[in-house]
Amino acid sequence: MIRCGECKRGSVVFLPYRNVNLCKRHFLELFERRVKKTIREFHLLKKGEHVALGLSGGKDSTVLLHMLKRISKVLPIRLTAVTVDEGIKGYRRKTITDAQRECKKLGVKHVVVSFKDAFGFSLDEVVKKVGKSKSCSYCGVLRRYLINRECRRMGADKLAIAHNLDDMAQTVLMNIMRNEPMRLARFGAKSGITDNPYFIPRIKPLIRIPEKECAAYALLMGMDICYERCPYAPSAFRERVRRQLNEMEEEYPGTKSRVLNSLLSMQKALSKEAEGKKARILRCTKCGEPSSTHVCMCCKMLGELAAQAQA
Amino acid sequence: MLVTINKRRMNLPFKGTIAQLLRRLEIRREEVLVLVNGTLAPENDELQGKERIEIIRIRGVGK
Repeated sequence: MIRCGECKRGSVVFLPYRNVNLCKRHFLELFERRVKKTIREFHLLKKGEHVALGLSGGKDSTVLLHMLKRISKVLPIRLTAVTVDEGIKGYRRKTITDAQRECKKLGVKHVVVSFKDAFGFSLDEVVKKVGKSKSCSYCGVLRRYLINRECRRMGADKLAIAHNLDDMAQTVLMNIMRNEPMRLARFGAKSGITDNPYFIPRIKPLIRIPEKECAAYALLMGMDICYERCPYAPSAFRERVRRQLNEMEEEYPGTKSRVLNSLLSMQKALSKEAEGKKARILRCTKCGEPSSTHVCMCCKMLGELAAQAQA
Repeated sequence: MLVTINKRRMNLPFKGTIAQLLRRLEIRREEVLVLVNGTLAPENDELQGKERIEIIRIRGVGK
């Protein structure tokens, strides 16, 4: 049996980038310390804030729910979990049930908003019209629109998203490979447009936690997690980048953290550059939601779907 | 040794570390958790060949 590097109990995890084995207790302590450090480092939370949490029911958002609940005992914040039901048959029902169960267990208010109620159709119906290859684009835009609107309606100050280190590193590389570096200007522990009252600022307390460690934390804390994948996701490009990054991480431990740290180092320059090209935030002429163009992306997509239905 | 990968079972004669087992099965260690006799185990743990191994793929549900 391999021993913990801190206390000589039996180890449950090996962290190659630190070359250390840890027992359950010391791993959980390290995990929680790192999340709290990220919150302090980027000033993600303030006392008395109303924080909405995007809760899919998967491992990352469930772990974040538990972490924020723990933190709320030390730093008083009001926590509300928001789940978007996109309408994916045979998949979403189970994760919503998991999300409801975890919120009930922790005494956190839980709100479910659905595509069907908001837009009149489910993602399954959208996919029938636009094809599986475009499912993520439609889902992403409609989901962000809906969750921002819901957070504003409930008076949330922040929206906490459970993006982990793997998600961050993948997105950084994808934007560089697509030659869209300016997209990274507002991409970090705090993201989105922060100086417009119609946009709820997004915070990401898990950006320094590798996906594998989120899963280990969930398992060691006894969370009942669904590991089924969304039948429509992810895109082939992200999948390829994910595989390559995992291969690099195995050969050169710490690669994902270095990609993230590179972004954080470059961000000052990127933000300065973006400041000069700052798009004006308008209100969509159709729905009134904030948008950089006269008609927001969500309304454009809804228009396309309506036109297809008539054709 | 009984190895279960996402509920699919197989019998596999193997001695070595978990990392070596994953390599043999062509599984990236970044993408899985490994339980040995029901307990989470580190990849540098040595297997004797009689354990019950469960490999859980951890890929997210999509964001």
